[in-house]
Amino acid sequence: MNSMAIDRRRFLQGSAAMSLGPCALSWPVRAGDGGFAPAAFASAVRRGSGFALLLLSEDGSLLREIPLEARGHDTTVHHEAGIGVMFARRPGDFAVAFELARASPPQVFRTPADRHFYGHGVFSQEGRLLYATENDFENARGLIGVYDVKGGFSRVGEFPSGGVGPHDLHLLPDGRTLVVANGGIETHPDAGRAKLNVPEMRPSLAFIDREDGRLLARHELGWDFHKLSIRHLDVDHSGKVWFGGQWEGSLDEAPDLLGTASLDQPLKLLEMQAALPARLKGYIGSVSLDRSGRLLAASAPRAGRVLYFDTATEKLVSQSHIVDGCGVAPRGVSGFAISSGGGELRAAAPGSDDVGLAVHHNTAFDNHMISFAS
Amino acid sequence: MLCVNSAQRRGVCQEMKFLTVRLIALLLACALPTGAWAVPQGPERERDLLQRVERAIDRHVLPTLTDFSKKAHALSDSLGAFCRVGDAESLRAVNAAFRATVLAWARAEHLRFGPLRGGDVSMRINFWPDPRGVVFRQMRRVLQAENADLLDPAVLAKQSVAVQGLGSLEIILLRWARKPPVDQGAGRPDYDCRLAKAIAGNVANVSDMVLQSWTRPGGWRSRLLNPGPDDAIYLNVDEVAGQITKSLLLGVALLRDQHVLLLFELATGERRRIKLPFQRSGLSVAYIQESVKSLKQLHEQFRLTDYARGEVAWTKEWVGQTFGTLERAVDELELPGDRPIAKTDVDETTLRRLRFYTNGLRQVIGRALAPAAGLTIGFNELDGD
Repeated sequence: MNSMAIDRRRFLQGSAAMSLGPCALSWPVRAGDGGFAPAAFASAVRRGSGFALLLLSEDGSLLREIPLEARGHDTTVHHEAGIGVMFARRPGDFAVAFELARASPPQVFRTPADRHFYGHGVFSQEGRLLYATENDFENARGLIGVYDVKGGFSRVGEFPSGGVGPHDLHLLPDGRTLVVANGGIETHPDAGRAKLNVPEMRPSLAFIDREDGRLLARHELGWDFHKLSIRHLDVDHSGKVWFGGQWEGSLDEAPDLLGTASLDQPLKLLEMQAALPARLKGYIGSVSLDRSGRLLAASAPRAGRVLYFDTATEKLVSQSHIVDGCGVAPRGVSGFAISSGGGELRAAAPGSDDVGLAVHHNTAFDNHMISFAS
Repeated sequence: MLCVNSAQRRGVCQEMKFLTVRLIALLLACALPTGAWAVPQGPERERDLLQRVERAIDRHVLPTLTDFSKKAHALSDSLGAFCRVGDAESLRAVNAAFRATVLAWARAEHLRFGPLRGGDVSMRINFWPDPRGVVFRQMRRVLQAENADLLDPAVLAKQSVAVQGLGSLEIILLRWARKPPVDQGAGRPDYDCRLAKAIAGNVANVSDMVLQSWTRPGGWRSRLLNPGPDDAIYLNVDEVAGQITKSLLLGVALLRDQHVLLLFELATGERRRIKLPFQRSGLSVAYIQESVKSLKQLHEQFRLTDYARGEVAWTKEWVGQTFGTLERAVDELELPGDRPIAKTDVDETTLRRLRFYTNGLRQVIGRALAPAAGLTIGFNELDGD
């Protein structure tokens, strides 16, 4: 049953988790007058043998470091509210909320014991609620967990994600519809990160009314593509969804790895050269539109490439080569910042050479980087 | 780090502290610019790496898969004999062949590339991990329904992978252990027996398919030894050498995640119940032992440690010694097969060592040895999400 109303048991669980959960430390690296210089990017990282969330300036320099108890994944921000939340990588159960402009102690909150995060979340438009992809692992059921931001991130509800293994999710421009990438891959914390159902996986893109949890549409690619796990998303101003996937079958049979859809349009794959999906090792790590919406960047870290597609023609127009480059975020009007597992941060724009912004030693940037500019 | 009060354990703890310092030094060393890891470039390095790949394939991958295939066929044959004869001796032969096949799979499980990429094929051999007990539930339904169609391995191969592999066969063998189906009369095998034979036949067929995919002209052996622009997957020597390295890293990760960490968390009270592969057949420890031996063999054939020098020269000896340490630590494990494993069955100190050394191996191989050989095993590419 969908439980959008505040569930007392879950509320108490959430409150208990809040009261017991440790507050993470936050290390300001460069303080301004009573606050921080404005951050441009955020990314989870591995730092030495530990993990952290880094806030970075436009030129890639470090502004703030928030140590994490384990590996993080993606971050979401609400600009008006001035807050961000970073989610644990699956099967982690913690998330860290932080203020963008003040050095207040970050706040750690957790899923209930029978759930874990999948690494992604999104705020409602007004910033009152936070939606996160989660796993009800005993029942192999994907969920969207709902958290009350002003209530100390207490968990106030949940509804089905429309599939198994939900990963990335975004809010459409209507402010009401959530689009969820149900990767289709079943996992269970007792089995670490093992994929439990590859032969039978059924990924989908689900459109859900966030106000009542109603499934509005669910698009699939068909059985021939059932091993293409739909994982990462971006949404343009018109509500068109751009997605990237990872292929779980034989690389020789890897299909096109990127595609589009909308609430009323089925999934469509972007045509790639025949050998390209295998060359990319069947794996897209991140996707991001630029601020103009005219370019889509898709990282393929196993091939050390970032591909750029013209969104009007849906054709590949250019690529960057960067070893283990995975995080992509808009920078400027029609460019991107790319982060790598080697600690490198670059500025890239199709048609011009990449520019190195910074190298953070002893640092491996995780899969995703977000841009703070609204 | 927990140190306890016996001379031997104090020694172990000091060793772990020492290695912790070395690993931290390694991590700091990894912070150096890439240039600090420069290795000889050019054709000589490529030839050397390709020879290592060839050695790893011919002396580890193919012998391991060949052995698994032989064991799987022997298991199928033994079930054929048992279903014909139905006596205690032929049942003992089945159990021995099952054990041999399971342990041969333990030695092959990390080879998840080429025909074993993606999980389909390996799950057909053994559906594991199975945290929600899917194999048991599906096999109970199959055994109740007695669907005759499933007795044909070709038909079985099209069913749910959960009923196709060694885990499903284990359920039948455990039924037989409780109530031996012996002396039922030759020539009248019951459904369990015929299904067991079909499952073993399916596993043997899959093992043949995997082996042939490696050895046929233009197969995976040929592709890995001839990388280049004509191959859709392997463009250059670095990619194939990286593939072997990733297989070694995956094996260590499987060892840590599916065995060591579960036992460690049981020992520390973080978990109350754990499931290990083939535990109810009493094969848990042997499975881990064979996994470690096999990974050690792959390391010895590939020997990335030959590239260790400068800041990471100490890893040259450390990796081999660590595999030895793991083998000895695993030998200390004694796990029950006739009941669930309890906290009192496991020694926290031993498991702390196993956890420490499996973590250390992954860090040293991925973050020191691979870069020393000029290979990049990316943070994001290794285990993407």
